[in-house]
Amino acid sequence: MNSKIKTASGFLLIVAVITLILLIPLLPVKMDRAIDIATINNVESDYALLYFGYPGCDSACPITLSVFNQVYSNYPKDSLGKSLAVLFVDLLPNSSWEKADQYAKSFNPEFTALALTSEEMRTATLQFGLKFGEPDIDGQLNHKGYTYLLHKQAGVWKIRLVFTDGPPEAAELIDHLKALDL
Amino acid sequence: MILRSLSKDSFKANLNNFFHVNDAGLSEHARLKLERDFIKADKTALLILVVYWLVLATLGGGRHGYFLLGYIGGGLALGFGLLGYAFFRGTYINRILVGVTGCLVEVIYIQQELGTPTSHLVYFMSLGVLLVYRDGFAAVSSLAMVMTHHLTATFCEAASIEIMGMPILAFNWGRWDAYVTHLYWAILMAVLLCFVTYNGMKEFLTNETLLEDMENINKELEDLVAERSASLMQTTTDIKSIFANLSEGIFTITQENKIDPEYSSALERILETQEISGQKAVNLLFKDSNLELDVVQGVDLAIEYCLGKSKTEFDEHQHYFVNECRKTSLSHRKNLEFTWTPIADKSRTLNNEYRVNKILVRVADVTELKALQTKENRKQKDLSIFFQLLLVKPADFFSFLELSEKMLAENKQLIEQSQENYLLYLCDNFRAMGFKSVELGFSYLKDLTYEFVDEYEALVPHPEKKIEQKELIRKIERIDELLHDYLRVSQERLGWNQHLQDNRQHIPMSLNNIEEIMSLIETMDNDDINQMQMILSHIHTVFASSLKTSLISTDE
Repeated sequence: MNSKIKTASGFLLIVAVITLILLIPLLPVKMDRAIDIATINNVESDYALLYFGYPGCDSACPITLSVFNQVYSNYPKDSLGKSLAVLFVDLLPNSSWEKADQYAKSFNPEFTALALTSEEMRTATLQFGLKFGEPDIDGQLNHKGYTYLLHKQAGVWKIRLVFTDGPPEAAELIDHLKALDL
Repeated sequence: MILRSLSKDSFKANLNNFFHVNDAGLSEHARLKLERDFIKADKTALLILVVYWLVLATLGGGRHGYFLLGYIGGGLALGFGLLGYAFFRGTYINRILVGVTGCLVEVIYIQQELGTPTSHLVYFMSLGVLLVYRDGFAAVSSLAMVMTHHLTATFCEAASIEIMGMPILAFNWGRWDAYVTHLYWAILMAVLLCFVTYNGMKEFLTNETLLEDMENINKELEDLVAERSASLMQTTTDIKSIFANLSEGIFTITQENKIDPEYSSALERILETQEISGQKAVNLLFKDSNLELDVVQGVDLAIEYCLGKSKTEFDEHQHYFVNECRKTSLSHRKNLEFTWTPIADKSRTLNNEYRVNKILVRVADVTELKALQTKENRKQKDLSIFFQLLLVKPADFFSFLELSEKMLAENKQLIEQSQENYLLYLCDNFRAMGFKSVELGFSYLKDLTYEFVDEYEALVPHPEKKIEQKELIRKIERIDELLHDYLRVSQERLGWNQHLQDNRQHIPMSLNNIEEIMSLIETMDNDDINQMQMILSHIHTVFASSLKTSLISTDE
């Protein structure tokens, strides 16, 4: 009996580790990685919320951009003295900047769409750990909806926080932005 | 059917070797050794994982930031590893746990790297670490974990399944094609790992079997050595006991032509010395003996030559090895008898014969035996003389005696005078004596006198040749002694008297009659009265017949 309990305990331990393996990718990741993409580095601001999506997305993109709108609207720029930018990068290979910008601005006119070159997109895929598939016949694109919180230091943008488990609450994001200031 | 059954058993056995869950079929020694090996591998793997965790966490944090995900997450993973080691070390459960713990450390690092492709490559290093195990549980569980994870994610991606509004994506390039590519590498790795671990286990089990066989053989050898040692000890004790109690001297001559330290106690008694070991055999045996120097040297050379040669060569030189001698230097004169036997070892000569490496020598003190033999010979001689005398009449014997004594005296005088042709007269006298001896049947006297005549008659035509007077006298004295032996036997055994001329009460008997009577007495049955009466009657008849013959002869 003891032996059976012990064996069961062992398997429970294994299951616990496997569960952790499955849960790890859902953890937000703090980091300090410099971005080596000129189009992004040209953006002038202190902080930025970055999102990779595509115009016409009907799942993660509108939810995330809506949250970004709340953050942008409630972010106390004046009291903190730091500017915040919301950046949207189109993942569709053959899309136009205008379309992306129009899509971003549909959530908030202050939002900025960025058009990365093919080379920059490859770099972004590696640096941001992007995952996205090919567009289907309906033009829908399967992609990871990570939220990146960027901080510009000495003229270089750095990834400071990555939310891998969907878009966080707006208040939470604002708290993180405030924490970066401290 | 049997083949299928065997094949099934073989497959099960091989599967158990690869995924080692039970110890069935293993010896206790192999089981313990394998368990120790697994525990040692668990410890090694855990230590490597600790290093692996620290390196990856530091690498991830150092490159991209200061956050503690790597350290804390990895530490948590290692905590599971420690728990597994504490409670399940040496078991397949811990091996599975080590496999998935390695995956966890790896996943944390990949997360730190935001899933960059290069971060995935270090996974193969963690697979390499799992080769410390002799079975495939750790490696296969790790690979199975990763492939199941990727398969599930790919399936979810293909089915557009979302969790909390977040679509699930397995790869940042491709879908099933990416999965197949990963699967290909995973299968390749799995095959390699299986091959290495399976061979490792197989080699271990083979070595273990060999070790056990060797241990068994060693044990059998030890038992055999112990048995042989005991037997040898018993044999040595027996030989020592035999050596101590033998009445004869036994020793061996070694390759160095020296006497071996092991010899029988009797040798010291026979040779009356304790300085035997290491001596030269010829010095010990033949010093102050009646043997001539050249004979002794011959024995010595024969020993030197035969040692190291074949038995055949020993046999060819056997005649050099003297069989007896007489030693005078001891407390009393001793007659010694020798037997020389070659002892061959397993080595062989050029002729493929066994090589003589020792010579066994038996020394027997035959002094008493010789004396007894001499006495017995004398008795035999007396008996023969007795029978010879029985066949003659006393008067005839005494006449012969008188004549012979006269001739002997004459011959002695002739020798003293040593006149010309005295040898011829000597021979004539002895020839006459020999002739008379033949007539009476006195064989000893006949032989001795004729022998004298044969020897010296040849010298008669050569007076210039010197004749040893002493030898001549000695030979005449021998004849004289023999004559007196006849006289002595006639007096002691037959009661004849030279001065009593009338010996008529002594009748001669034929030898056949005497032998017949003796044979009848020897075969007589003491319990058979009738037979005894018949024999006595027959003896009476024989005596009566002899008496009658004797009387007729006397009358004539």
